[in-house]
Amino acid sequence: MLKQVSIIILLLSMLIAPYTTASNGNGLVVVVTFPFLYNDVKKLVCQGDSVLLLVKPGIDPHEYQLTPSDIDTLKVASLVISTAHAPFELQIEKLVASGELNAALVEITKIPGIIFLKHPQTGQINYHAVIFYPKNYEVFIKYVENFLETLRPECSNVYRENAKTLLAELTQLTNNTRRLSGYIAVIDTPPIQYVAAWLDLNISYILLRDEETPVTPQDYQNVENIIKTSKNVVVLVTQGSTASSKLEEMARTYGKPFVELPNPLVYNGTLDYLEKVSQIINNANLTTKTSVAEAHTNLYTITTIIAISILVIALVVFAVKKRVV
Amino acid sequence: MKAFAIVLTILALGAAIYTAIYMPLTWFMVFAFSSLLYGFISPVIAARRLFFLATEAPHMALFSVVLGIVVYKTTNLLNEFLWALIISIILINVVGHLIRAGVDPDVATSVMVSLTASGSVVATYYVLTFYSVQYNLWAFILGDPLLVTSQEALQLTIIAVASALATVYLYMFGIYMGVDLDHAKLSARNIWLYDTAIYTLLGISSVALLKIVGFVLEHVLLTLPAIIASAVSSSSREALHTSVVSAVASSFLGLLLSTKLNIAPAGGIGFITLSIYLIARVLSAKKHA
Repeated sequence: MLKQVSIIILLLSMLIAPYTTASNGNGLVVVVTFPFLYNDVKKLVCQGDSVLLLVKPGIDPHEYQLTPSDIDTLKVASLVISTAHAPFELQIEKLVASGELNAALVEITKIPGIIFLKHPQTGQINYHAVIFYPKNYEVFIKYVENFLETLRPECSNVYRENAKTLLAELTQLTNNTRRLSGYIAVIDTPPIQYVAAWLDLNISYILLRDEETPVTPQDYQNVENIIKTSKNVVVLVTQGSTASSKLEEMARTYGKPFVELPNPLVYNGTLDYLEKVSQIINNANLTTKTSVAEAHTNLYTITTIIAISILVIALVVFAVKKRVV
Repeated sequence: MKAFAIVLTILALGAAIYTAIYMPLTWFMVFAFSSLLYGFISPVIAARRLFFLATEAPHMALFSVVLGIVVYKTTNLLNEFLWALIISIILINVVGHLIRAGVDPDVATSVMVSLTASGSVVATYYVLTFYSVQYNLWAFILGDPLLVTSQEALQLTIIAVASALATVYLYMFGIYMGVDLDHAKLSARNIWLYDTAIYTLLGISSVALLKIVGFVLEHVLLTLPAIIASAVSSSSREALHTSVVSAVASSFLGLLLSTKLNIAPAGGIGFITLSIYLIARVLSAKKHA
């Protein structure tokens, strides 16, 4: 029995291992909520500190619920870093406020100096993935670095050096990434708005008002109109989103450039994600092609006419047969 | 009551023509063929007295769609939609044939609802935990007809035409079975085959409609057109006609309403269907008064 329990514990620790760094002695335990925060904070910390991730890459944090083992993890944390917009993060905020958790809490959306973009249709602040905008990333890294210094002053120099290295990496990445100023963008969901802003794209429309809401007729028609009539338009989508197939179809129909970015939630680092975006954008073909709208329309019109004709004939036969009977 | 059906036909045709001219063609295809799908299947459900199965069908469809994702991701065979169809057809035939074999309909449907509801929770949890960034399950709950691609619209067209043809072929015999099952059993062999065809049609339609009208509204749309038709029709043929035109009218008028108010189209369709039902009830009450 003891052997079996040991094997289970060993297997569990192997599962957790990729998203945990070891803590010892006076080291801090830093818990991050979203996967894309993990590697960046890991690169920031000092020897002896540990970084734990609550939501593993590939899982949507917006639908995540805290488990009892998460609460145990949060109880040993010295610092929790949250984006403060997913429901489970709001629960963490309440636990900290009520004193049930002793950890200090850094909420990215409440860090002074963070720049917020507004959703072009709703006018509401977009709280999704704000640190994909380089200026916000810089503010975030500096803020967390200062916070870590106050929690563990003996590592101040290490934190400062690590932050400097991270920001240098960001600057290099930005310099090596193609700028898309002069293009307007239609995007699928709010989380890539900050990435599009990083690329200097002028975002004219976000098709889905939020990731899980159905699209409305006016939004659809406006987007189609922009893709159809605008000259320098890029359709930028997130892999696997509900709107990506439809937007790809529109882009291909009207011969406009289409770029598909990976979902940020499958990456466990902001710089890792931006590096992938940089590669995709640098290799993207942004030339406008010939529109195939007319050919598509003809095909579907013929199909529709045939289908309706079959139904009408069937109904006429049904009616005539009934009369004969 | 023929006047009611004529008004509905004019409204349906008017709204359909407006959509065909002023809106994207894929919208016309999606709204026309989804409404034809539930407009044709609904009177067959009523004729065969399968309302209990029709209200259970969305539960089975949701379970099938979510389980289809899990099966596809595990086996990497076929695709999610085909797996959903296979699972849905099996489930609905199992419950239908259990009832045919003499199991109490309340017991059979309760057991199946328990299985599919709890199965949906487990399968949904699994999908949300492992594949949540690849699938948006909310689209199946709320419906998202405008994001249907041309390829999916073609699939829907084929399913709708095949289902409508099968319905036209099976409808009158369904009426006989609904009126006098014993006589129908005596006069025809292989009645089980007829029932299997109806269950299969219902299984396919409920899965095909799930992404378009959503789980919430599907309960209503599979049954309400036939209820509207039965309130105002005096013959089985008229009932089929009224059911189809009320479905088509509510679908296109719902789209126009949602365009005007900039709301989700599935909600617009639901409100229009409910309005048509209320008008039909008032007219029916006046007629009988």
